[in-house]
Amino acid sequence: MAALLEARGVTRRWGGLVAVNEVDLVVETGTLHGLIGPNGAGKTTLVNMLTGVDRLDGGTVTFAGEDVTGVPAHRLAGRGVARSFQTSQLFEDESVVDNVMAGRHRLIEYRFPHTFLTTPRTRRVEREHRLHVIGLLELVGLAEDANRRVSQLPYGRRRLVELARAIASDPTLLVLDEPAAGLPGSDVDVLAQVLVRLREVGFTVLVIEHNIGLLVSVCDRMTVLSEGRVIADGDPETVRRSPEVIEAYVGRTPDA
Amino acid sequence: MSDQITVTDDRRAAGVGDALVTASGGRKVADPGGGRATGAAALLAAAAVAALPLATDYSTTYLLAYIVIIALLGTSLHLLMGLMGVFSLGQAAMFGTGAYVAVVASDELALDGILGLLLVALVGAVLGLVMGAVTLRVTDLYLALATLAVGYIFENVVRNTDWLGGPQGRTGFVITVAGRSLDDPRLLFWVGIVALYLFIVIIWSMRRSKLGRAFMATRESPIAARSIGIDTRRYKLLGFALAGAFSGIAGALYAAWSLVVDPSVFGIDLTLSVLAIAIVGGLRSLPGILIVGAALTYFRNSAADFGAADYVLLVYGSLIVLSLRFLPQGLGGLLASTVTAGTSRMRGRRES
Repeated sequence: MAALLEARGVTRRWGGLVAVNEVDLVVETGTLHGLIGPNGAGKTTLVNMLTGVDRLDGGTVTFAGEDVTGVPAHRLAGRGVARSFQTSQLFEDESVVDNVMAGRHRLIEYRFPHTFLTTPRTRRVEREHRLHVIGLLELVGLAEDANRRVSQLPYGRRRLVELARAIASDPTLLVLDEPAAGLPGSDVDVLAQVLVRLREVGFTVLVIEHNIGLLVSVCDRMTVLSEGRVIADGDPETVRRSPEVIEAYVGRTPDA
Repeated sequence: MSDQITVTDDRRAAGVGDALVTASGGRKVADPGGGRATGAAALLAAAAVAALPLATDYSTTYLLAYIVIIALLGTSLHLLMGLMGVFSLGQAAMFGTGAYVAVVASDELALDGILGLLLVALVGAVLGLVMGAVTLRVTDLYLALATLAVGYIFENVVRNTDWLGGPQGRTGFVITVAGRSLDDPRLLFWVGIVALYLFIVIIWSMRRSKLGRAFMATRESPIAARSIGIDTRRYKLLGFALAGAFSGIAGALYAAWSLVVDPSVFGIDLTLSVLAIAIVGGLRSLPGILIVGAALTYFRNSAADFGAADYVLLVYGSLIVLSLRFLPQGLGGLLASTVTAGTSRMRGRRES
């Protein structure tokens, strides 16, 4: 399997604190890759660097064979990296359909002057994408809410909207930052099924989670981050039994 | 490798399409722009408004022309503040620049208004781009102050430039369109209404395209916007350029309307009265802004006839306070909720 995303020696410092320290991370094409670690391990900081939201203090990032170190977020998104956010970044006053339609931005093309004057061509292209989005909403179970305003939706559904918006851009790599955060147990199961389904239809997914349970059952590979360093990397079973991981999670650190 | 990915993508798209056909059946995809009937009604209304000067006397037509100029400014505020969420007070600088460029184009360059207005639009767009570029890193109040400062700078530069007439400004210029002078209020009105309709069509079209969603995304969450591939800076610059072009045209028409330009065209008064219109009408609602713009401008100019001349500012202020308290979305918000309630009632009747 070829590496889709490859990070080498990635480092980020906040003043004297090294938030992410020489991290190596390889996400292979077609896999469901879990990035886990206790709160404050540097997961979100790492992902922000990998997706161009934050700058790097050291190291390189390669995506689909090209060096993308320091490439800004919107360009990376244009190349096929989509992500969701831990704290909601939805367009609150807009409908679910319009939120998800925004996710198709990079795929919608009708060229000048069709953007400035609604022509039959604009309508046709918009309609095609809108139908695609409706289909996508049915896939994640949001069809009923398609025309509702996002601000009116309960929390679990809002997380699904965020997921749908990221998927809508037909990304090569889908990065999900704690998609299960704050979800009730039943919704977590639904989410796990959606994750498996995403891999089945050909997505490469990187999921960030602090809860090890959700990921062990569905991931192909896991990387564990603690205090800014990688402490384990491999298949879920090996990672789960690793003494360092048990230590980081249960907290039997001799010198802490 | 990449070929394989494309194949999976196609298959997925087809699968999604199938799921849609079986599951959604005859359910209608909501069209944000409304149906054909709305379009026809809008066309009729537009034609009726354009035909108004055929039925009105000279002074009313003169007032109508002024209303169109205010509407152009209101529309540019709708674009910047309503759609893009940029709190800009830079319209005065764009407006004043348009006025002076129009006068120079006709007086010094002897350009006909058609070319002159194109030049005004171009200069306005460039000024908008510069203002957008300068303020890329600031938001909210800082952006408002920075754009406001541009107006003050221009006012002072023009006041001290003898070539432009200094503090007295310039008079005695004749702005023509296709060889006919714009001092005919009918012609002025029609030139203005063409520009206004063009601007409205552009804004409505943008709102229904990926551009409108890009503006919306940039306004609601720049981080999320960038994460789905939207270059937020590019769209901010585009919005500023469009607003600059049309505010500039408004300024050019104002010069033709008032027959004099002086440095006061860069002043804050005009921007503030248009801002009042935009707040009462609803920043996000073009119909609201247009209706309130026409009504308030008419009221202001005819207040003396009702014996209410002394109360104009009081009425403006009260309207702003009342709308902020009871209609935070302005008249447009009220219109939208009435329409929504109406259609859902109709839908309910049809289904039962």
